[in-house]
Amino acid sequence: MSTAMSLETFHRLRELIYGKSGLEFPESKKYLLESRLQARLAATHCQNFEEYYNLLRFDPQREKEALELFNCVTTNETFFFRDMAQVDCFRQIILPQIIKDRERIRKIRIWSAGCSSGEEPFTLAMIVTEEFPSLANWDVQIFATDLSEQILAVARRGVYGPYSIRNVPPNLLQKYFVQSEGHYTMGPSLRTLVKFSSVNLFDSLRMRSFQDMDIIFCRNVLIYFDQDARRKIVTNFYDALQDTGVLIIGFSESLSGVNRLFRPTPWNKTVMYHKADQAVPLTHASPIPAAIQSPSRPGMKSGVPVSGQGFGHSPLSSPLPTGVPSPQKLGTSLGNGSEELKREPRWSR
Amino acid sequence: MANDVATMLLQDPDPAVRRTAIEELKQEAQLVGASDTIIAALAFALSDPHVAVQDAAARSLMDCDPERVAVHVLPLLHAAVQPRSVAMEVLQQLGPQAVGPILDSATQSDPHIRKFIADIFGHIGGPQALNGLLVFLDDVCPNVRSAAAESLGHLGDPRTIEPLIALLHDEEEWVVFSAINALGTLKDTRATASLHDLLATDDPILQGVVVEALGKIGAKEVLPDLLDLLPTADRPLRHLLFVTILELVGDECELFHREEMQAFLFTELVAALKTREPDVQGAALRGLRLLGNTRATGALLQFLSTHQYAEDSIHAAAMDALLKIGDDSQLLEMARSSDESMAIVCIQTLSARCAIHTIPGLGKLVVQSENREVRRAALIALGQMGTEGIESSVLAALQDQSGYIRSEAARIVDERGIQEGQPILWERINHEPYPDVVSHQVRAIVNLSGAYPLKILEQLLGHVRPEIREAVVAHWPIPLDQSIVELFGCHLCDPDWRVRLKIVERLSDVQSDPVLEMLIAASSDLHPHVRQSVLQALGHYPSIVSASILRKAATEDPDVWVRSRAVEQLAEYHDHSMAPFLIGLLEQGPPLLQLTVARALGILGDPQAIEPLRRLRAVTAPEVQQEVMHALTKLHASSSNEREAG
Amino acid sequence: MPETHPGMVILVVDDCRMTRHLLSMYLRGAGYDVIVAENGLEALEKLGEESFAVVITDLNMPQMDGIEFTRSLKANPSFQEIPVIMLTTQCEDRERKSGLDAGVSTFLTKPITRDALIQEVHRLTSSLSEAVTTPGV
Repeated sequence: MSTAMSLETFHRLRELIYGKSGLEFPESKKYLLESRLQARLAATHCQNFEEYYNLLRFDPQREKEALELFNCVTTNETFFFRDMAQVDCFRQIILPQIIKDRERIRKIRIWSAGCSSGEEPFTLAMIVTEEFPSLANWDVQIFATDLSEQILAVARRGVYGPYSIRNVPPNLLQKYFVQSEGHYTMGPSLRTLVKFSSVNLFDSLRMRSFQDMDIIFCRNVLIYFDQDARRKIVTNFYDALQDTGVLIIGFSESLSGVNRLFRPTPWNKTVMYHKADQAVPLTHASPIPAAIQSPSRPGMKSGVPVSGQGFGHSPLSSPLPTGVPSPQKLGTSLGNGSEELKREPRWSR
Repeated sequence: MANDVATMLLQDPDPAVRRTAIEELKQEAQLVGASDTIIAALAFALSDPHVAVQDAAARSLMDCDPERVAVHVLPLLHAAVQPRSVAMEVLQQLGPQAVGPILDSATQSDPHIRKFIADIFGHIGGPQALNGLLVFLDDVCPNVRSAAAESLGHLGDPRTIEPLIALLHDEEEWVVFSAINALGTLKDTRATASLHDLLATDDPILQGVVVEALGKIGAKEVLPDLLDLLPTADRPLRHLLFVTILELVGDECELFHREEMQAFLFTELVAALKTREPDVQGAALRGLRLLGNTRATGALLQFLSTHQYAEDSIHAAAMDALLKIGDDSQLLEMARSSDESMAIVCIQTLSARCAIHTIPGLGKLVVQSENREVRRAALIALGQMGTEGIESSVLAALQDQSGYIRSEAARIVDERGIQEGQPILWERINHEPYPDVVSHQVRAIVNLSGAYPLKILEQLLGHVRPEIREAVVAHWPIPLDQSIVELFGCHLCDPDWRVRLKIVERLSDVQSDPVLEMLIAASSDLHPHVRQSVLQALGHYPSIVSASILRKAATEDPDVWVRSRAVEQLAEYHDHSMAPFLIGLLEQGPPLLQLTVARALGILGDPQAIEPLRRLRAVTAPEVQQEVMHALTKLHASSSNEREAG
Repeated sequence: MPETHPGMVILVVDDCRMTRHLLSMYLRGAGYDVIVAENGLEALEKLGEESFAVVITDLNMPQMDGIEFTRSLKANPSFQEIPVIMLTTQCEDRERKSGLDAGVSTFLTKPITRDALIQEVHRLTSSLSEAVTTPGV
């Protein structure tokens, strides 16, 4: 029971979305937009996409709806301790260096840009707390931002399902989560480290309130944007970072063709980015065996996208109270045809 | 004035200040046009030691007049490496207008510079650049000649074929290779003969370059010669040959069924999977598929597991090959692997191949696998493949710990009519936390009932959970006979608006007087979405009563969307007498309503609306203006039609 | 049949697609495996993907030129042992000096001749494998 989108409406929607967010949808992704937005149509009770387009332009709630739209079309599969190589780089190289640099002022700022349902910032918080006890007396803050209030609400609730926590070592699971009936709720100790808020990376003005960051994680976000938008966002990151700050992007992503502001430093199959005008940093030669061994499955790199699900947060989060449209998949029309926008190992459909 | 300050600030020791200065200059350039001073200052900033300043300057120069930018940036080509590379980036993006000053530099004595110019021409394009490049083909310096050849390949102009063919006799090998390459990129068949002649050489590198070019041109006629080269070619040449042969062969596999070739090709293609080059991988995959030998299954699975980040086309080629030639028992074996992605690929391939005999094995996975994704993939595969033997697994999946799987299972139970699912479903709907899963479960219950007895409808309509009430209304099948309509009508007083909404939507498919009465009563529903839907339904009942309800809603409803819907419906009546009423609404706004009214007036086609619409256009928001224009066009068209007819 | 150098991977960095392509062909023809990058930035991103025996880089490239790339490479302990060949058109002394300062091992002038390239690569890689097989040196 799905509604079709005319080509003209697709062009109008695409332009509107690009103008507000920098997200780009080439013609080849029309069906993807169509299928992902079915849920928004249902949630806003619009009869068709033309109405939805008008809603986005005129409705008093249009800004909120825009954010829900962005969330709907840029969903990512996420879980704790994703892309271990990057997590290792953080714990073994980046954080120790930052601790050295900030020894006097004892303040660290980390930004998880595109935090989705919170697995990434909480993973970082876990590492900070577990492996760097000396930081207990420091002012450490992890800013976790994403577009939609809806996904941030899920993140703030901090309830995760077995799929999401599958790479968390059992002792940490025990220590930081409260388990009940197959759900794992984030306990209070890590929550103090993480601050969630809604930020549109494309909005330069808003981005200016983020300053003096030591580390920025922006994984699997840039892929949704075209080169111009990426340029803008990366320039915003440049301004938000300390001079000695580090940027980490997605595992298979590249800044080639974006701008010259960052210089990549490869380390053990991952890449960190420093500001290009800083002196070239020295790095350790080889990876130190990880203090935390996470149970990894042989042969599996990063997450397999849940096919056709369309919504990034863990589906086993507690159900929303009635009266609020459920963000989950409505009807099988969203299912088996829809592909993911991202470049992930895309096995399942 | 501001201009001078900014230019001065470009000397400031603080890079942040310099960047701001560039922003200022950029703004200035956008407002009043870029003066020579500004462009010169920005060009100067391209050599700034600070990367962010260089970058900002480069961006700003893009907004200025290309010709003058070229004049100021060209000198940087003589500078040190870094400003030179930034300058190149800027010059490459300038476009054909910048070609004048660049041409002047083309006669530079420094071959280094001429080579850069040849590169830039390839990006800039245009007839002058083309001519410049043709001149460069005779340059004394080989680097310039080869850069020119490559750039000509990019520009794609057919006039360049002959000169490039002439270049095939150049004394410098590198230049010859560039020419061959360019001819391939141009894809012009006139080059085929000359290139073909070059194949008869001992030099494998030359052969390789020629083979590639012939492949790009699509010269099928050379296939026999390419095949002849295969047995004695070294590995790199062999790979190139594979790529080209597969390109030329397309899907005709007759070639691949020649006995003497089969064994050789099989071994070589499997080996070729191990290269790093995506082109070769793609060719090997397609070739293996054409060969049709199932022994390649292991190699294909191996390939898929080690190339998780492969491009779309490679991934697709691998899946295609697996689909065609995969060996079922091996696939089932691997479906049990602990590697999730591998398992899912295997399961999906089995399903696509309709490997029915693997159903028991897959059924076990649905129940036993710890991995949610694997269980789900296996379940979907069962659903796709058939009814025999899937029941027990699907029934177990109805109670899976994952909502996604429960939902999928309900869908399959529904589709396949698995009756034993009924008691489980009836029990589940009471506790199911997710509304969309509930919806599937209810639909399954409804369809499993067979004859759709009213009793079930009543029972579910009386359920304590609104999701269930809504779902049963949504999924009850047509035709909706009188007793059902009456039952729905009774429930129009349901406390949950979504249930009421669904009822209105279903009723709107039935046209009868009792329904009209229900709709009229529902037009004063508390919830705006319900009211909207009612008004839309009234569109099926053009009558005085409906019209007056719509009119009332158009003027009095507190919700603008409802008013908008009312207007839309009024237009559908095609009643000219509505025009004055609608015109009256025009001045009131808000923009959404104006837009809808304008459209409605366009549909109605009453020329009285032309003047008021014109007046509106002058004062309203741009989005509304557009709609008003459309409407005016329609009105003019219809009024001129009338004049012609009359 | 050329000798193969199993496991020897060369990184070729040049903004010109054809150069990347032709150099790859020359090197593969001589039995090496090749990975390419369009500029210094992309090359740095790919450095971690393999264990490279030699890096061949152009001098003038957008995004990041050959000298800056070489400097970054040599500052990284994991990669500083990798010899760098730089490709130039007629080189000015100034750039040759910067290149040497940055750590370039050899310069090759364009247009590149196959023999010159392969000879140089052989030379650099065989001294590597010698270093590996002579312990304690």
